[in-house]
Amino acid sequence: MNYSQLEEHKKKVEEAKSIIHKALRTCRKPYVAFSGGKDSLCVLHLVSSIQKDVSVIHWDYGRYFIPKELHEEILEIARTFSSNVLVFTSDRYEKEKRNAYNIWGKEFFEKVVPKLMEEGFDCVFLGLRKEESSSRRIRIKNNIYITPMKEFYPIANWTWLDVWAYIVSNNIKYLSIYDKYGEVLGYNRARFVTFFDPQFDKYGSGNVDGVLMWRFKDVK
Amino acid sequence: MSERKYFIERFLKGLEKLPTPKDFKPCKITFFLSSPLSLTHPWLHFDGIVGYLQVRRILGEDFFLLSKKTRYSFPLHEKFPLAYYKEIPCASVSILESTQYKLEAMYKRFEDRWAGGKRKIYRGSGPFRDFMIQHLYVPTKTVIFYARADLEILEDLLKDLIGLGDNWRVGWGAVRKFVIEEWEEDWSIVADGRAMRPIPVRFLKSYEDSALLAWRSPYWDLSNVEECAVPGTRVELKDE
Repeated sequence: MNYSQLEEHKKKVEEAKSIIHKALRTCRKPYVAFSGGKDSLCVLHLVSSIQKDVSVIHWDYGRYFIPKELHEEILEIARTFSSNVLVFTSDRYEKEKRNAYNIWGKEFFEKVVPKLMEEGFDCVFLGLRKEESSSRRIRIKNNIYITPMKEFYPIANWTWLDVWAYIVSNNIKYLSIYDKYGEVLGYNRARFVTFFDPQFDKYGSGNVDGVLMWRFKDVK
Repeated sequence: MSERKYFIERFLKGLEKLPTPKDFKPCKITFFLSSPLSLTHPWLHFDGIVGYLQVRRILGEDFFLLSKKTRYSFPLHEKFPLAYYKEIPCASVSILESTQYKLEAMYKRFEDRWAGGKRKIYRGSGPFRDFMIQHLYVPTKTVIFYARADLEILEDLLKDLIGLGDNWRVGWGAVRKFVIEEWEEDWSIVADGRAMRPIPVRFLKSYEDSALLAWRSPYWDLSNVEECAVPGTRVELKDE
């Protein structure tokens, strides 16, 4: 029997759908924050199954951190769910290249969030999960919103197994990078984050990227 | 005198004592390992290893005083025991028994014997910070390189080599022994129509696949990166 057929998983899917239903009743204009990763993909699929053509917001980390082909793949996946995919980025990525640090943290909140609020967006669906880290667990538990918009975490209680079970059982197209990393690291450890990003050096991400993403090591 | 200038001058002075290579012969170098090879890139570059050994031989233990943040750019010189074809070093990349990468993590955890009587220790940052660093390794028993070199000088230099790959300082890729054999053909750059190392496409008549790669040492230096044929793919060198 597959994990996706177990009551345990089905309950979590139902719980996620119920969170989305409730959220949609209270929101006027929601959006899904879509990084391209497996978690936000599940959220996008869940929300789209309830409300068609929901707006999707994607932050582009620039060609020094995400290969162009992969960025295209992310957008292609997003466009299969929505005709309203908004992509934001910063020109600082081109200037600072791989030395760029915490640009998202600054530019997204200072420039993008006010713009989104101006356009009437009032809530966001996020793919945060408690299992990921203690800081996320605390953020979810205490409903610590990082923007003035209301945040919803439909898959907060999901494990990595729930995420993959949902993706596989629903035959959802996911980023090809997961197969590359999953084969070596295991699908429980495979994460989609910026490549060759100095902020992840402390975890040895550069060591792994250097072998698996060698074509992307040097970008000119 | 700047630190950079000091070390480069010492290197140039030390070079004078090294023998000058005379006779370059095609060869195969096999390293026998006693522990798995840790990698941060799919290939090891033999000319990089030889260059490193030469700098270490000259600077001795002071090699470890070199700052990681300073670019020393030790100049090219005629004492290098590997031959060149045009500007390309005649040295292949590593050939391993397997390319099945495995994941391993190294942990550093606080131990109170290093605390020096302190009563409060921060483990989230600073010198006692905990960390977990991931790296990939390949369980290979041998690592093979092909080169065109002065065998006598090369053998003498390779005696200093303790380990190959990344993290050799903590036991990965430990070299048990090495064997240098004379080889009939020169497989250091191209073997049976396949690139044995990154070759800039400007030196090629045709190539199957290319990528941005460093093609000469130091391989971490971005100024040595250009469009190169990928090792292992079909290539044809331009006529002389």
